[in-house]
Amino acid sequence: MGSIEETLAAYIGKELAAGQAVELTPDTSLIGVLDSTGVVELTVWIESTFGFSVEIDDITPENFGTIRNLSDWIRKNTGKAAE
Amino acid sequence: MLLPDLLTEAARRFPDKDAAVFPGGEAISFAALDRASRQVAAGLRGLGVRPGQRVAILYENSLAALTTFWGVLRAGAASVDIPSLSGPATIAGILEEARPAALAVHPRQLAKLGEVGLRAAPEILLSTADAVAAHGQAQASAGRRLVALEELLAGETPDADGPEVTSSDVALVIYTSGTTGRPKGVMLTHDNLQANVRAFNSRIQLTADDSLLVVVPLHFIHGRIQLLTFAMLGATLFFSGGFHFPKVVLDELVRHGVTVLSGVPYHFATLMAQTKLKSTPLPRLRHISITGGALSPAALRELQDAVPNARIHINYGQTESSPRLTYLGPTEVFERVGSCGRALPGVTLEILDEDARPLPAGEVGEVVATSPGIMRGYVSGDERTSGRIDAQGRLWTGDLGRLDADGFLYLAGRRSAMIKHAGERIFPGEVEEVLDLCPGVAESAVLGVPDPVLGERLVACVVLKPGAGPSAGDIRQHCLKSLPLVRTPREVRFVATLPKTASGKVMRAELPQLFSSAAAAPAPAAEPSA
Repeated sequence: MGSIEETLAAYIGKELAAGQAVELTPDTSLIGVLDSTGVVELTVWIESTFGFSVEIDDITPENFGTIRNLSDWIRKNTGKAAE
Repeated sequence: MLLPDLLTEAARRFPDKDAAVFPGGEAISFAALDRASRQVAAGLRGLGVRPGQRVAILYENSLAALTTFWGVLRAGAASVDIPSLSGPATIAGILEEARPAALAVHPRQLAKLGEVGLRAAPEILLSTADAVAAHGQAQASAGRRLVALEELLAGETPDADGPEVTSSDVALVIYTSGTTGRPKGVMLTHDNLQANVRAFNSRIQLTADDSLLVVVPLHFIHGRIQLLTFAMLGATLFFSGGFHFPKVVLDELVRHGVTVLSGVPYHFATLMAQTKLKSTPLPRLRHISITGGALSPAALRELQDAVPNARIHINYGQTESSPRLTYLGPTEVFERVGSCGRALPGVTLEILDEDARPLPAGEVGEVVATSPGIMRGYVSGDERTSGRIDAQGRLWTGDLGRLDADGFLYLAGRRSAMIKHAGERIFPGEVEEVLDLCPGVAESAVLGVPDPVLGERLVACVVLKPGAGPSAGDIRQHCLKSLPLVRTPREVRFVATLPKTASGKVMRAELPQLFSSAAAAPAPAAEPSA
């Protein structure tokens, strides 16, 4: 498996935004790419893929705004889960 | 009176008051917004946009979107709203049908238009200075003129409005789902919208002291009508970052201390399920307005308990009726459980059978409305041949319902198979048309299954061609290439056959049973979850 960034970009590009004709870079704003139901789907996928529960207070622009932000946040949480 | 006169009047009464505040704190006063609208209008006229022409707007909620909208109306043109999460093919379809004289486009959307969208775009594109710097040359070489909104805003501010239009002219074109699979452009006049804004406010009775958190995109009629209502009131709009992050919406409600929140059931169900709404005091929130569907009685009670100071208002309508037709007030919400209210002033509701005969109180038939808000028509011109508007000018809503003896309307289903998924109006045909083009798919039927948050969840039953094996994931990805996520089935169920009548028509009433049944066709090997 590639980096978390690559995994996220592949999932979002393929499963949530295939028709958006937009290049997904680590700093692409996900707000312009996903609708609110997409954020919910992404959250469910993160829980099942990375194996931790997402708290409602953690679904914020700071954590979910870009693929880079999201990757950093996932890394932090998976690190915690491993401790 | 024209719609821009609402803004002018607000600027006269409250020149320094904030008309709109955006996430991050960017704000504009009524006087500044009025002035900017005149500059944009003068600029558009200078670019050759004439009264009666159309200007398409493909923007996410922003100050530029707001300024552009008022400028378009001030120029005597009609705005054409294009949903910002549409794919290039949908955008191209709208542009080809509406044939706007100009397209105002968010820089991010400009990059997303792609070749297909740009091929259908008009010669004049309006965006930001950054977009002009990045794409101006490429657009010029493609024969288009990309103009910066900032350039228009640096121009003169004419005192007088441009060439006259009348209040019976079209002001807004809103694209909404159509039964045939193509979005329908609903044309609404200045008169249509003003009548609706005034009739609804005569019931909810908001004032200049109110303020609203805008949680819907402005390209929906729900967004536009809020914009117009608050211009009429001279009241402030606080734009939310949106429901991508429900926690942020709750924080915004607290921070701005708004008095009004208006949304579809999905918004309120989400706030209750995904935020700490119940434990967060919102003493200033006085009005909750619910449109576009019903919350269950239990959910309504839960919402009222969570926000005890707020008065809950319910309304029902459609884009085609500008949009509101009914109103149910705070005391009635819990007394007339399940009702969406009585006809607004000026609106007449009838319950008719298939032969257009009136049905007595209590009997279910199609809800047919007469109202000063009924649309001028569709851009496609088929509002009468399609039966939506009859010879008497009545709107056949496609909704089934009954009126009680006191005139309260209770909805009981839909004539068509429309699905309301997260507040979006979706007709099966538009999704099935895409599904059926997926390699290996013989035929399909989509339906909505009840969902506590989404209202209805969009799902698909698919019959595969012999020997063919696209997975549910393949099918979903195929859909996403043509449809926005919100219109893409959340789940795909493979079935051996679809239930049909003797004449071959899909029996939609039997689909829910088919979807829940275990008697489905074997899924293709290695099927990823949808």
